[in-house]
Amino acid sequence: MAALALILAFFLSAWTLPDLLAADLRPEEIVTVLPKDAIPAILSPSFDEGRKATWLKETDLVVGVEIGGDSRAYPVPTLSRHEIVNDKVGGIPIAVTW
Amino acid sequence: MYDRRIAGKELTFGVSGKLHANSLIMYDHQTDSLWSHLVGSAVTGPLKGEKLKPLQSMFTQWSTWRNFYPDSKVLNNGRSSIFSLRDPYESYYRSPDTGIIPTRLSDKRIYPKEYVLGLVLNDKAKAYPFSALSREPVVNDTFQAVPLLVVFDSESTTGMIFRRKLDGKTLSFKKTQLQREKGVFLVDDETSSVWEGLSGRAVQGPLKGKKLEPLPATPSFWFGWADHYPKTELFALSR
Repeated sequence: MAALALILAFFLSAWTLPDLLAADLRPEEIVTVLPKDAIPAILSPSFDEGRKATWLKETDLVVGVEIGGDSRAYPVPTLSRHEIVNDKVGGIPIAVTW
Repeated sequence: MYDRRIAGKELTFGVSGKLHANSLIMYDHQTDSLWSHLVGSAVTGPLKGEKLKPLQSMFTQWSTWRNFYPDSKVLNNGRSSIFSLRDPYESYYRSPDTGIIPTRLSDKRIYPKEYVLGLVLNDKAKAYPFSALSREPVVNDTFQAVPLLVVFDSESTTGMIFRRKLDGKTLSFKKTQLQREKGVFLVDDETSSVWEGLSGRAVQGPLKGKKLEPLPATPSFWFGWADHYPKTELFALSR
Protein backbone atom coordinates (compact mmCIF):
# COMPACT_ATOMS: atom_id res chain seq x y z
CA MET A 1 0.00 0.00 0.00
CA ALA A 2 2.80 2.35 0.97
CA ALA A 3 4.60 1.39 -2.24
CA LEU A 4 1.51 2.20 -4.23
CA ALA A 5 1.24 5.58 -2.54
CA LEU A 6 4.89 6.23 -3.34
CA ILE A 7 4.42 5.30 -6.97
CA LEU A 8 1.33 7.47 -7.12
CA ALA A 9 3.19 10.36 -5.50
CA PHE A 10 5.99 9.96 -8.02
CA PHE A 11 3.65 10.13 -10.98
CA LEU A 12 1.74 13.05 -9.51
CA SER A 13 4.95 15.00 -8.93
CA ALA A 14 6.22 14.20 -12.43
CA TRP A 15 2.92 15.44 -13.71
CA THR A 16 2.76 18.66 -11.77
CA LEU A 17 6.48 19.51 -11.87
CA PRO A 18 6.42 21.35 -15.21
CA ASP A 19 3.62 23.49 -13.85
CA LEU A 20 5.78 24.68 -11.01
CA LEU A 21 8.45 26.02 -13.33
CA ALA A 22 7.73 29.09 -15.37
CA ALA A 23 10.45 28.65 -17.97
CA ASP A 24 10.29 25.97 -20.64
CA LEU A 25 13.89 25.11 -21.53
CA ARG A 26 14.53 22.07 -23.71
CA PRO A 27 18.24 21.19 -24.06
CA GLU A 28 17.38 18.82 -26.91
CA GLU A 29 16.08 21.78 -28.90
CA ILE A 30 19.33 23.73 -28.81
CA VAL A 31 20.64 24.18 -32.35
CA THR A 32 24.05 25.33 -33.55
CA VAL A 33 23.92 28.08 -36.15
CA LEU A 34 27.41 29.61 -35.87
CA PRO A 35 30.82 28.58 -34.53
CA LYS A 36 31.57 29.50 -30.93
CA ASP A 37 32.69 33.14 -30.57
CA ALA A 38 31.83 33.92 -34.22
CA ILE A 39 29.96 36.78 -32.60
CA PRO A 40 32.55 38.27 -30.23
CA ALA A 41 31.25 39.09 -26.75
CA ILE A 42 32.80 42.18 -25.18
CA LEU A 43 35.17 41.33 -22.31
CA SER A 44 36.99 44.66 -22.06
CA PRO A 45 34.37 47.37 -22.36
CA SER A 46 35.52 50.97 -22.77
CA PHE A 47 33.47 54.10 -22.23
CA ASP A 48 33.03 57.73 -23.22
CA GLU A 49 31.60 60.38 -20.95
CA GLY A 50 27.95 60.65 -22.02
CA ARG A 51 28.23 64.45 -22.24
CA LYS A 52 30.99 64.11 -24.84
CA ALA A 53 29.40 61.28 -26.85
CA THR A 54 28.27 63.49 -29.72
CA TRP A 55 28.30 60.45 -32.01
CA LEU A 56 25.17 59.18 -30.27
CA LYS A 57 21.85 60.58 -31.53
CA GLU A 58 18.99 61.61 -29.21
CA THR A 59 16.69 58.86 -30.47
CA ASP A 60 19.30 56.06 -30.54
CA LEU A 61 18.18 53.10 -28.45
CA VAL A 62 20.23 52.15 -25.42
CA VAL A 63 20.06 49.75 -22.51
CA GLY A 64 20.84 51.69 -19.35
CA VAL A 65 21.83 50.52 -15.89
CA GLU A 66 22.62 52.35 -12.67
CA ILE A 67 24.16 50.65 -9.65
CA GLY A 68 25.42 52.57 -6.63
CA GLY A 69 25.68 55.88 -8.48
CA ASP A 70 27.52 54.37 -11.46
CA SER A 71 25.35 54.77 -14.56
CA ARG A 72 26.10 53.35 -17.98
CA ALA A 73 24.37 53.18 -21.35
CA TYR A 74 24.95 50.42 -23.91
CA PRO A 75 23.91 51.40 -27.46
CA VAL A 76 21.64 48.73 -28.96
CA PRO A 77 23.48 48.57 -32.34
CA THR A 78 26.66 47.62 -30.43
CA LEU A 79 24.70 45.03 -28.43
CA SER A 80 23.41 43.56 -31.69
CA ARG A 81 26.98 43.11 -32.93
CA HIS A 82 28.32 41.60 -29.73
CA GLU A 83 25.25 40.16 -27.96
CA ILE A 84 27.01 40.15 -24.57
CA VAL A 85 28.94 42.77 -22.61
CA ASN A 86 30.84 41.58 -19.53
CA ASP A 87 31.17 44.66 -17.34
CA LYS A 88 31.50 45.78 -13.74
CA VAL A 89 29.15 48.54 -12.59
CA GLY A 90 29.27 50.03 -9.11
CA GLY A 91 31.53 47.13 -8.16
CA ILE A 92 29.01 44.49 -9.33
CA PRO A 93 30.05 42.14 -12.15
CA ILE A 94 27.23 42.23 -14.71
CA ALA A 95 26.40 40.68 -18.06
CA VAL A 96 24.41 42.82 -20.47
CA THR A 97 22.78 40.42 -22.90
CA TRP A 98 20.85 41.13 -26.08
CA MET B 1 20.82 42.01 -17.61
CA TYR B 2 22.30 39.82 -14.90
CA ASP B 3 24.67 39.73 -11.98
CA ARG B 4 27.29 37.34 -13.41
CA ARG B 5 28.22 35.72 -10.11
CA ILE B 6 27.17 32.23 -9.07
CA ALA B 7 27.77 31.38 -5.42
CA GLY B 8 30.13 34.35 -5.15
CA LYS B 9 32.28 33.26 -8.11
CA GLU B 10 32.55 35.55 -11.08
CA LEU B 11 31.72 34.15 -14.52
CA THR B 12 32.39 35.70 -17.92
CA PHE B 13 30.17 34.92 -20.87
CA GLY B 14 30.70 34.36 -24.57
CA VAL B 15 28.40 33.71 -27.54
CA SER B 16 28.03 29.96 -28.08
CA GLY B 17 26.68 30.21 -31.64
CA LYS B 18 23.73 28.15 -30.48
CA LEU B 19 20.10 29.11 -30.23
CA HIS B 20 17.21 27.90 -28.13
CA ALA B 21 13.81 28.81 -29.59
CA ASN B 22 15.52 31.57 -31.61
CA SER B 23 17.09 33.08 -28.52
CA LEU B 24 20.78 33.49 -27.68
CA ILE B 25 22.54 30.71 -25.82
CA MET B 26 25.60 31.94 -23.92
CA TYR B 27 28.44 29.87 -22.52
CA ASP B 28 30.61 30.69 -19.56
CA HIS B 29 34.40 30.62 -19.98
CA GLN B 30 34.88 29.02 -16.57
CA THR B 31 32.81 25.82 -16.91
CA ASP B 32 31.56 25.83 -20.54
CA SER B 33 27.97 25.45 -19.32
CA LEU B 34 25.28 26.70 -21.72
CA TRP B 35 22.90 29.42 -20.54
CA SER B 36 19.65 30.85 -21.84
CA HIS B 37 20.08 34.62 -21.96
CA LEU B 38 16.32 35.20 -21.87
CA VAL B 39 15.69 33.11 -18.77
CA GLY B 40 19.14 33.47 -17.17
CA SER B 41 19.59 29.84 -16.23
CA ALA B 42 22.05 27.15 -17.24
CA VAL B 43 20.51 24.56 -19.57
CA THR B 44 23.41 22.08 -19.77
CA GLY B 45 26.87 21.62 -18.30
CA PRO B 46 28.33 21.61 -14.79
CA LEU B 47 26.23 24.61 -13.73
CA LYS B 48 22.95 23.19 -15.11
CA GLY B 49 20.01 24.46 -13.08
CA GLU B 50 21.86 27.47 -11.67
CA LYS B 51 20.15 30.80 -12.16
CA LEU B 52 21.70 34.24 -12.61
CA LYS B 53 20.20 37.07 -10.59
CA PRO B 54 18.39 39.46 -12.95
CA LEU B 55 19.16 43.17 -12.59
CA GLN B 56 16.87 46.06 -13.26
CA SER B 57 17.70 48.03 -16.40
CA MET B 58 16.03 50.46 -18.77
CA PHE B 59 15.55 49.95 -22.52
CA THR B 60 15.02 53.45 -23.84
CA GLN B 61 16.24 56.29 -26.04
CA TRP B 62 19.56 57.96 -25.30
CA SER B 63 17.94 61.36 -24.61
CA THR B 64 15.60 59.82 -22.00
CA TRP B 65 18.44 57.97 -20.25
CA ARG B 66 20.68 61.08 -20.27
CA ASN B 67 17.90 63.16 -18.69
CA PHE B 68 17.80 60.76 -15.74
CA TYR B 69 21.55 60.20 -15.52
CA PRO B 70 23.44 63.22 -16.88
CA ASP B 71 26.74 61.71 -15.66
CA SER B 72 26.17 58.40 -17.47
CA LYS B 73 28.98 56.85 -19.41
CA VAL B 74 28.43 55.29 -22.84
CA LEU B 75 29.97 52.10 -24.15
CA ASN B 76 32.20 53.10 -27.07
CA ASN B 77 33.45 49.68 -28.24
CA GLY B 78 32.98 49.31 -31.95
CA ARG B 79 31.95 52.87 -32.69
CA SER B 80 35.02 53.54 -34.83
CA SER B 81 34.29 50.60 -37.11
CA ILE B 82 33.40 51.40 -40.69
CA PHE B 83 29.90 50.08 -40.03
CA SER B 84 29.42 52.87 -37.48
CA LEU B 85 26.37 52.45 -35.32
CA ARG B 86 23.95 50.92 -37.78
CA ASP B 87 22.18 47.99 -36.27
CA PRO B 88 22.69 44.88 -38.44
CA TYR B 89 19.22 43.69 -37.46
CA GLU B 90 17.36 46.83 -38.53
CA SER B 91 15.40 45.06 -41.26
CA TYR B 92 14.73 42.08 -38.97
CA TYR B 93 13.09 44.35 -36.37
CA ARG B 94 10.72 45.68 -39.04
CA SER B 95 9.94 42.39 -40.78
CA PRO B 96 7.41 39.81 -39.53
CA ASP B 97 10.19 37.15 -39.46
CA THR B 98 10.56 35.38 -36.14
CA GLY B 99 14.12 34.15 -36.40
CA ILE B 100 15.47 31.17 -38.27
CA ILE B 101 13.84 28.30 -36.39
CA PRO B 102 10.07 27.85 -36.63
CA THR B 103 8.51 29.24 -33.46
CA ARG B 104 6.63 26.89 -31.19
CA LEU B 105 4.26 29.72 -30.52
CA SER B 106 0.66 28.82 -31.05
CA ASP B 107 -0.44 31.68 -28.86
CA LYS B 108 -1.53 34.30 -31.37
CA ARG B 109 -3.23 36.60 -28.91
CA ILE B 110 -0.92 39.34 -30.17
CA TYR B 111 1.42 39.81 -33.16
CA PRO B 112 4.54 37.60 -32.75
CA LYS B 113 6.97 40.49 -33.28
CA GLU B 114 5.17 42.77 -30.85
CA TYR B 115 7.42 44.05 -28.04
CA VAL B 116 6.40 43.03 -24.55
CA LEU B 117 7.75 43.84 -21.12
CA GLY B 118 8.22 40.50 -19.39
CA LEU B 119 8.21 39.91 -15.65
CA VAL B 120 8.92 36.79 -13.59
CA LEU B 121 7.74 36.65 -9.98
CA ASN B 122 7.76 33.48 -7.86
CA ASP B 123 8.61 31.55 -11.03
CA LYS B 124 5.48 32.78 -12.77
CA ALA B 125 5.58 34.94 -15.87
CA LYS B 126 3.53 37.85 -17.10
CA ALA B 127 3.91 39.96 -20.23
CA TYR B 128 2.75 43.53 -20.83
CA PRO B 129 2.48 44.32 -24.57
CA PHE B 130 3.80 47.73 -25.61
CA SER B 131 0.62 48.25 -27.69
CA ALA B 132 -1.64 47.88 -24.64
CA LEU B 133 0.66 50.03 -22.51
CA SER B 134 0.74 52.82 -25.07
CA ARG B 135 -3.06 53.03 -24.65
CA GLU B 136 -2.97 52.57 -20.88
CA PRO B 137 0.42 53.93 -19.77
CA VAL B 138 -0.23 53.61 -16.03
CA VAL B 139 -1.33 50.19 -14.78
CA ASN B 140 -2.02 49.42 -11.13
CA ASP B 141 -1.71 45.66 -11.25
CA THR B 142 -1.37 42.80 -8.79
CA PHE B 143 0.58 39.71 -9.83
CA GLN B 144 1.52 36.83 -7.52
CA ALA B 145 -0.01 38.86 -4.69
CA VAL B 146 2.51 41.65 -5.32
CA PRO B 147 0.99 45.09 -6.00
CA LEU B 148 2.71 46.44 -9.11
CA LEU B 149 2.90 49.67 -11.01
CA VAL B 150 3.62 49.45 -14.73
CA VAL B 151 4.56 52.75 -16.38
CA PHE B 152 5.01 53.35 -20.08
CA ASP B 153 6.32 56.41 -21.91
CA SER B 154 5.00 56.24 -25.47
CA GLU B 155 7.33 58.95 -26.72
CA SER B 156 10.49 56.99 -25.94
CA THR B 157 8.73 53.57 -25.87
CA THR B 158 10.10 52.88 -22.40
CA GLY B 159 8.38 50.61 -19.89
CA MET B 160 9.22 50.16 -16.21
CA ILE B 161 7.74 47.99 -13.46
CA PHE B 162 7.81 48.92 -9.76
CA ARG B 163 6.44 47.56 -6.51
CA ARG B 164 3.71 50.01 -5.51
CA LYS B 165 4.06 49.22 -1.85
CA LEU B 166 6.04 51.77 0.12
CA ASP B 167 6.78 51.45 3.84
CA GLY B 168 4.02 48.85 4.18
CA LYS B 169 1.38 50.92 2.41
CA THR B 170 -0.02 50.11 -1.04
CA LEU B 171 -0.36 53.12 -3.32
CA SER B 172 -2.58 53.59 -6.39
CA PHE B 173 -1.42 55.79 -9.21
CA LYS B 174 -2.92 57.73 -12.06
CA LYS B 175 -1.41 59.89 -14.73
CA THR B 176 -1.00 63.61 -14.21
CA GLN B 177 0.78 66.44 -15.97
CA LEU B 178 3.40 68.88 -14.84
CA GLN B 179 3.77 72.20 -16.55
CA ARG B 180 6.86 72.57 -18.71
CA GLU B 181 8.00 69.06 -17.87
CA LYS B 182 8.33 66.32 -20.46
CA GLY B 183 7.81 62.68 -19.61
CA VAL B 184 5.30 60.67 -17.60
CA PHE B 185 4.15 61.97 -14.21
CA LEU B 186 1.86 60.23 -11.77
CA VAL B 187 -0.11 61.17 -8.69
CA ASP B 188 -1.02 58.70 -5.96
CA ASP B 189 -4.56 58.57 -4.54
CA GLU B 190 -3.39 58.10 -0.96
CA THR B 191 -1.14 61.13 -0.43
CA SER B 192 -1.49 63.15 -3.66
CA SER B 193 2.27 63.12 -4.07
CA VAL B 194 3.55 63.58 -7.62
CA TRP B 195 5.90 60.99 -9.06
CA GLU B 196 8.22 60.85 -12.03
CA GLY B 197 6.98 57.72 -13.79
CA LEU B 198 10.07 56.14 -15.31
CA SER B 199 12.34 56.67 -12.30
CA GLY B 200 9.67 55.91 -9.69
CA ARG B 201 10.75 58.92 -7.66
CA ALA B 202 8.36 61.26 -5.81
CA VAL B 203 9.10 64.83 -6.86
CA GLN B 204 6.36 66.76 -5.01
CA GLY B 205 4.07 66.31 -1.99
CA PRO B 206 4.36 64.45 1.31
CA LEU B 207 6.36 61.56 -0.16
CA LYS B 208 8.84 63.80 -2.02
CA GLY B 209 12.25 62.12 -2.18
CA LYS B 210 10.85 58.58 -1.77
CA LYS B 211 11.55 56.01 -4.45
CA LEU B 212 9.57 52.96 -5.54
CA GLU B 213 11.48 49.72 -5.88
CA PRO B 214 11.96 48.83 -9.56
CA LEU B 215 11.66 45.18 -10.58
CA PRO B 216 13.84 43.52 -13.24
CA ALA B 217 11.72 43.41 -16.38
CA THR B 218 12.78 41.96 -19.71
CA PRO B 219 11.86 43.66 -22.99
CA SER B 220 11.38 40.94 -25.59
CA PHE B 221 9.49 40.03 -28.71
CA TRP B 222 6.25 38.22 -27.85
CA PHE B 223 7.22 35.02 -29.69
CA GLY B 224 10.49 34.73 -27.75
CA TRP B 225 8.84 35.40 -24.41
CA ALA B 226 5.92 33.03 -25.06
CA ASP B 227 8.19 30.26 -26.36
CA HIS B 228 10.27 30.38 -23.18
CA TYR B 229 7.33 30.97 -20.84
CA PRO B 230 4.42 29.09 -22.47
CA LYS B 231 2.22 29.56 -19.40
CA THR B 232 2.78 33.29 -19.27
CA GLU B 233 -0.07 35.56 -18.39
CA LEU B 234 -0.72 38.34 -20.85
CA PHE B 235 -1.88 41.76 -19.74
CA ALA B 236 -4.91 42.95 -21.70
CA LEU B 237 -6.83 46.18 -21.60
CA SER B 238 -9.93 46.02 -19.45
CA ARG B 239 -11.97 47.94 -22.00
